[in-house]
Parts: sequence; C-alpha cells; structure tokens
Amino acid sequence: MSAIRADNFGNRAGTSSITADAMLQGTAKAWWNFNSTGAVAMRDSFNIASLTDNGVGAVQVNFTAAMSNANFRGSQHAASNTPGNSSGTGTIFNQTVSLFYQAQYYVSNFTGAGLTSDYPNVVGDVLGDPA
Amino acid sequence: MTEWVATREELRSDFMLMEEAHNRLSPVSCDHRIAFHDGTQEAVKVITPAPRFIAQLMAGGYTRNKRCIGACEETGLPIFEGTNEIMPAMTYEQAVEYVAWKDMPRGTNHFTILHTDDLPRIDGDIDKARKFRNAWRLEMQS
Repeated sequence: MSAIRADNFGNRAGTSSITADAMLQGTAKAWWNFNSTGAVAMRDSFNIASLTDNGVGAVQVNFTAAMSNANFRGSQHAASNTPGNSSGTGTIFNQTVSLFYQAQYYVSNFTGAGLTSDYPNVVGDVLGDPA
Repeated sequence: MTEWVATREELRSDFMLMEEAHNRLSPVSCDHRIAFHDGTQEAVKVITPAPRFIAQLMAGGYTRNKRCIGACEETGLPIFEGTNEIMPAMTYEQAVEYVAWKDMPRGTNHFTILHTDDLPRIDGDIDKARKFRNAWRLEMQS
C-alpha cells in the first residue's frame, strides 16, 4: 500500500488549510448502522467486529481494531421507522466507556420518558486515536 | 497463551489491515448468533457478528489472532492475549467461533451458537422473548 506523507492539506487558492493531525483526529475510526429490534442485525459498519445485545436498549459495540486508549469519543442516534413520530425519533443517547475493555463501546437508547428501548435504526460513530 | 501490552505500531498495523479488508471485501451475511451468560448476571446476552468482520476472517490475511483483555495501568494501552499471528482463511463456522472467543468476556464458557431461526420467541415474537431473557436456558457448549 502506498502512502502520501504531508503535514498540511489546503485548497488551490491557499485560503483554507488543515493539518494532517487535525484531519486524522477528525475522521471516524468506527461507525455503525444496525437494527436493534428482533434478531439484532448490522446493516453496515466500519471497524466493528460484532454487537453484544446486553438487554433492551443496551447494545455494546465491539471494535475490530482496538483504540489506543479509553478516552475516545462516540455519538449515537436511534430512531423509529415513522417520520415525525416523536416517541421514537430524536432519541437521546447515553454512553459509558468501559475502562477495561478498550475494544468495546457501550451505548444505551432512551425514550423521552427515560425508558430504555430498542429501535430499528441505530447509527453512531467514534472519534479517537487508533494508534 | 501469551499476554502483552500493545504498541502503537501494532495498533496502527491492525487498523490498516482492517481498512484494507473493508476496501477490498464484500460483507458476508451472518445468520448465526452467540448467546452466553457472562457470570455477572443471569440474563443471557447475545452477540451479533458484523458481516464485514466475517468477510475479513473468511478471506484470511487481515486479522491477528488475539483479543483485548484489559488496559495497561501505566500507559493506558490495550493488553492483548493470543498468538498475534495473522490468521489464514477460515470457514464461516470458524469465523463465528473466533468472534465468540474475541468478544465474549474472558473466561466465559457457558455459551451456545444458534441460527437466527432458533432464537427464542414468545407468540412468534423475538422482541417479546428478549424482554424476558431470564427465562432463557442455555445448554453447555461441548
């Protein structure tokens, strides 16, 4: 595999640029799109080996390639299949990062009433340092 | 089985192998699930292998034989156990078994691999059964 080595990337006019470090830190190191209802099923993913269904509304994402520390950042969103259904869309997420298993990332989906729930559309990503 | 603290070079290499597999391989649908008791609670947990990881394992040449078992207190880097050799191509069944070893908590031996058709249902509904998983019973894997 060939590689491009550079410290800075910018537009042709030279009016806008970004450092390589900023670009590398700002790209997702893992992402996922799965259905957490029924027989939980992954639609597509990047750097995800498997999902662990820990209970209703609690799914653990297991990385293929481990991150270099536990201080990574993740976001997650879950929604129903019904547009405008306020009970399912706009669901907030909660995350707790295991301090022990760095190849794992825990997420829970909560309804507005504070109840855990599963959703047909769960998407998320992780930013951080894989090495 | 050997244990070691990961190096940044090793983690970078693992990530690059994963990226290459992602770019080159098509996902392999996985209709099997791994159900297990982790020893901390009675409720059954269920692992769903990712189709892209199954493809990566079946192709061979992209995955090192290891799993993360903790973090180094001094550096924060992952601690791995395994042989660290790059694994050759494997069958679908071997790939699912590898996922079970890699992603179940260490020491878990109360598990079973089952087809999605065999997931517990209540009145034909998997979701209903998932809410009452304390009622699940697992037979020991030999």
